[in-house]
Amino acid sequence: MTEPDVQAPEELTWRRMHPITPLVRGWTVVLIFLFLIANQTIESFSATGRLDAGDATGNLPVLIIVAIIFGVFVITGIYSWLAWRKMAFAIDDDAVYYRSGILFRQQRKARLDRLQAVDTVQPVAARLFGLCELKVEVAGGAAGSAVKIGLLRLEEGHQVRNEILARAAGIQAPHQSDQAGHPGGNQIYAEAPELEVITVPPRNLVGSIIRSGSFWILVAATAAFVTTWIVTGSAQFLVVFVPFAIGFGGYVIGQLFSNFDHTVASSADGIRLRSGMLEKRAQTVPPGRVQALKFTQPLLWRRKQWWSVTMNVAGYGISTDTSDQSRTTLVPVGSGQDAVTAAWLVLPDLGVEDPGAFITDLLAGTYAELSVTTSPRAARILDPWTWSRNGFLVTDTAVIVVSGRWRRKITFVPHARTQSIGVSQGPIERLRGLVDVALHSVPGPAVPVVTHLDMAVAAQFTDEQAARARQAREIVRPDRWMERTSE
Amino acid sequence: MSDHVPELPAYQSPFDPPGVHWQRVDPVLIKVRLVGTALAMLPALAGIAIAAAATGQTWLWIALAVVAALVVWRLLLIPRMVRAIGYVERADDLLIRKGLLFRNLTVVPYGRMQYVDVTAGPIARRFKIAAVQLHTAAVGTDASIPGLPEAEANRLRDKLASRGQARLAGL
Repeated sequence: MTEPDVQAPEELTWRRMHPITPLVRGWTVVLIFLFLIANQTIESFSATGRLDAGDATGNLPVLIIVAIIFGVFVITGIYSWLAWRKMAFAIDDDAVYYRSGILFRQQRKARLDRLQAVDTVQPVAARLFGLCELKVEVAGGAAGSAVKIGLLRLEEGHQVRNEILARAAGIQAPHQSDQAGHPGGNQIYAEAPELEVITVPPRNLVGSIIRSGSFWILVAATAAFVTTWIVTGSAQFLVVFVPFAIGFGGYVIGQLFSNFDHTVASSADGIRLRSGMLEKRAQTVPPGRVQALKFTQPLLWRRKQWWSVTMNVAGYGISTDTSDQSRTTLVPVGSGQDAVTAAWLVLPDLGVEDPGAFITDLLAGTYAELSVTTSPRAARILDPWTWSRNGFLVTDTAVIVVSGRWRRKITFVPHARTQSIGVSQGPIERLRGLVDVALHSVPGPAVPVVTHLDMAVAAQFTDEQAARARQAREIVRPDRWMERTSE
Repeated sequence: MSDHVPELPAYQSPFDPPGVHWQRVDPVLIKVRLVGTALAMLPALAGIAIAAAATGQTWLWIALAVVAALVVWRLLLIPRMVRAIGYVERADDLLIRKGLLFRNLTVVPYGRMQYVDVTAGPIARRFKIAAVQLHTAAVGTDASIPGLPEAEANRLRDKLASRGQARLAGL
């Protein structure tokens, strides 16, 4: 939990961040201010044709404008120095603490035994200076409650990340109790070695974007606009076209930039994801923190047999930050083999004898051979095309929900990660004897819902799933994944 | 283990799990909801009625009739909806059942409860009932039991909190 206004323990070493942190974080405000001043200057210039008139029409002489700009810089500088002095963070064995604020003091605490993920992000502005930002996601927080340790030098950022992960894992830092007064400050934490398992070549990424609906909508809109331009000879539809192009084009380009050079690696710290062209991002998701996994295959990817893999991680799904949109993507586009590898990373024990062949069969869609329980024929009136492609399958360790005929989805929910189960039934479903069963999970792209199941089948599934989830909870691994349980 | 395996109860409907005895909520909730709905809809009805009387246009009278009919239909449904709410504490989880036309069952394991709230609006406080709301890590968990007498609500909250603590299993 992140709790504001907590009293941090007394013997913490507070560490500072890079001095230009408030500037880089607040540069938008300064920019807006300068833009307003420039706007006013340009208006007055175009009105009178002169810059230095200080006459009764209210225009400012150029000297005063220069003085105002200088004043803005000085005030910004003083404010950012004061803000920097008040910003600090500290790490001990239980939590990460962060405090900031000149007038309104703010203190945040993120408990390490609830750690869900640690990300190092390098936004474009920070990357210019060789700095990075750390985001620590914990369970039980609301949107925006992640502890953000703002701009550190890249090396230091990696050090802090390694330290947070080591302490969260339960690796006991050798306490320098014999040294006077410097606990933990000089300890160098090594990065856990990693093994790269999945990479996404740029060719595949571009190919997948070209084969997406948004791209073709954009192409069609551009073609329509160009045609009307040629036919009517006037560019009046520009007004309609430009926002449309910005919206869809921005999405397409955003996908390209944020998933560029995506690599997935496996390490003792968990799953490591790296991606990004302008804004580089490195995420670490410790073992057991992925709540659900989803494979998606849009219709246009079927010939290439590509799948995209996304995951639910507590804290990733509810962020409102624009830079956080692709955090839940485990593999933006991959082959069937990549999907098998991704499933192995998240669910090493799938509960079947041959996971590789099992997942390959799932991807191929041979549901009858796998004895997937699908919607009954009574659901034909509600799902005319997909009734035989919606269903679920239970293994020893997970529930697998399949859906869709054209846009196919396969969702894995480990038994130990089921939060609650919801069964719902509308009036039409009641007439046909059907119910929907939803396995509630944390907010994210994977939504495991089995629609239009036979009532008796659903009753049995709900009952048995509650029992399986309880059994799985009892043997789940400890939150501190490297802790020695014998001590 | 003896040779005789007890016959498993036949699964019929997920809304009636085998061996479950549903507990009803306090019928005073009916009054609370009736008062609440009436108070909420009264300004709208009054506004339309005044406008219709002042201007005398026909469509306003028709609108008034339609809105009044909807409100009356809503008020008639409330008693049946409240009687359809049920909950039961099992050994490892809590079941909550709601709804008439759109039925809903939620199974919340004790070990997954993050925290439990007891809330009561002004009208509910007047009639001395409260709602117990459970929270898990999932946002979609709609696990709230309205219409419990205050003592029962507090007892349930304490019992759920202690059971959740005992079985707490991380996230």
